[in-house]
Amino acid sequence: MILLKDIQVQKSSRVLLDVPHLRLLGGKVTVILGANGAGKSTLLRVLAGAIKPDQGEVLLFGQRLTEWNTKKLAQSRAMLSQHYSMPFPMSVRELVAMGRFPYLRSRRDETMVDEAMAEMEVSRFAGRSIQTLSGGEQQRAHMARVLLQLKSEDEDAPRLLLLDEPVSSLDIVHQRTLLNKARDAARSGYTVVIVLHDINLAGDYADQFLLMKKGKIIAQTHSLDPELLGEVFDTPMLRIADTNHDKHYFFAGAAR
Amino acid sequence: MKRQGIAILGLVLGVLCIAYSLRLGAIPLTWAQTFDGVWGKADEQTNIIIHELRLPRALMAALSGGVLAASGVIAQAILRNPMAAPSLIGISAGAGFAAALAIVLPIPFLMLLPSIWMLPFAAFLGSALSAGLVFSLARGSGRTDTGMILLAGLAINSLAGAGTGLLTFVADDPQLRNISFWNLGSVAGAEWSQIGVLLLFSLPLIVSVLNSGATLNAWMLGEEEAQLLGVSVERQKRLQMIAIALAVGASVSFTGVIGFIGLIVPHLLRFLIGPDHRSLLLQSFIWGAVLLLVSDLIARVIVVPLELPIGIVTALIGAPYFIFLLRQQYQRSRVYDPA
Repeated sequence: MILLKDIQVQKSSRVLLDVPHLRLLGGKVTVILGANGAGKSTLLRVLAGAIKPDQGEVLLFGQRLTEWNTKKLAQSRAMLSQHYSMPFPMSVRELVAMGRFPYLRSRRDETMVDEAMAEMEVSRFAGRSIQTLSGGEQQRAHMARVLLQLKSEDEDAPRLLLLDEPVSSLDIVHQRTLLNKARDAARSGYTVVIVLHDINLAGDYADQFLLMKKGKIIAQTHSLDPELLGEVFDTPMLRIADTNHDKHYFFAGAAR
Repeated sequence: MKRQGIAILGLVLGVLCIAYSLRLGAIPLTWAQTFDGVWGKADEQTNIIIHELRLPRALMAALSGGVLAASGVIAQAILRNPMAAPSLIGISAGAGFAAALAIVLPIPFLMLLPSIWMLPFAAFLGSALSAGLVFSLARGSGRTDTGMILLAGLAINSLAGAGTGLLTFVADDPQLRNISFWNLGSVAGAEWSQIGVLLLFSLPLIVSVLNSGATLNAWMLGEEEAQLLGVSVERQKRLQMIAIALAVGASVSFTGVIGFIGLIVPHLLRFLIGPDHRSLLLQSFIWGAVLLLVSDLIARVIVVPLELPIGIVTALIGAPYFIFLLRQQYQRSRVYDPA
């Protein structure tokens, strides 16, 4: 379980994040929705321990985030960030292998790297420089690295997987491949938190939603409706029903 | 397998270069004399030439070359900038200024030191002071900003350069010659005690060369990402920079400024074996040693009986080759990401 208490993050006296209380449970996929600048990435980075909040504390699996040992923490939580830059032409294999950094070297490492690359379908780029790949291929390679970071002998240990707009550069097929992996991870007990912009894609994968606006969580809910989404994005939202499949879709814009 | 081949080639070349360094010089020896001399079985003069002059000189070249090249790899990784080199963080310029100061002005307490230690001591103080200044300028709110290290290094470099310029303005002719020779580098006149001191100051760097491969790889993703992967970023940054400052500071103090090794060797090896630091670090150390040994050989034989300053040789080989490498890389479309 992950618990946030009285969290505030400020930057030059502007409040970027203000979360009085948040609880996230293992085994669930939580999707964060919100407009640009709503504090989604900031929340993710606070959960990861990448930025220290100015106020409040994060309890990760019962222990304060600040008290975790750096290596142990890296074995228990991993984050896929929005942007990466790479000053040197690392190969995809070398990149994915970085996921083993928090662990002692072992004979299984090479096989684990191979498996991770196969999972995200980047095996055929293994020897190529990451700089020569397309944005989507890079994103998949990084996802393989992040998943590998959480693989350890102790499969029952709690894990936190944070994905910041993980499908922003992916084609529609790979979007689902990646999100399926995230859901599988949740089914095996991981706590999974994903920032997404595609509300309808989110609807297919989320066990619950966090709706954010101006640094605050305005709702933690299991289902979406046009009024709520309209408030989150400050724009009228439409709900279209697909009666054949008993699903509904949301679109921005007023009915004409 | 290619990597191992290149490492072995480097070691073989290194041994070969050392052998030639022992043989060639103002008094050329035969291979038989050289070999006997190494074991102290030749005539007295040959023994002395090899043990007291050529062997320490060859080792100084090898060790300095290795230190400069490995520090280049680490500086480029930590600062995440392919153009970074130890000289960029103010170490060489600070040492140069202090050396010039010691040459021009009689500094009382330095005069107490034996002459072979006077310049190195001053130079090391200068390098330590400027490196310390760069780091303290780049520190703020509990972290060291790598961008600020580069900028502060640039500022300290120009400041020290201006200081050296001012000193050359007031120096007399022999002093001027000393200053300019110091700034072009030389491994001539190395002594065993200096090798010992350099080895001691290089220990942290050597430990880092053997241990930091995976850490520096993780660093390629950026500091925040490295932290997420389990790197203690601030601690590592401090340790690695101290290791570089100590080793390069000591090396520069004994040899003067030797340019280009710290920049070109890491790039050459990335071109040959790729950017994986798990092998890049050690290979750079080996090939830095080889390159400086070769440069020293060239410096001694090309204008016999005179010697060219070694810094001129490294720049003369280094700069054109560097341009060639960049062109190759460009054509392979492995252009560095400017971010």
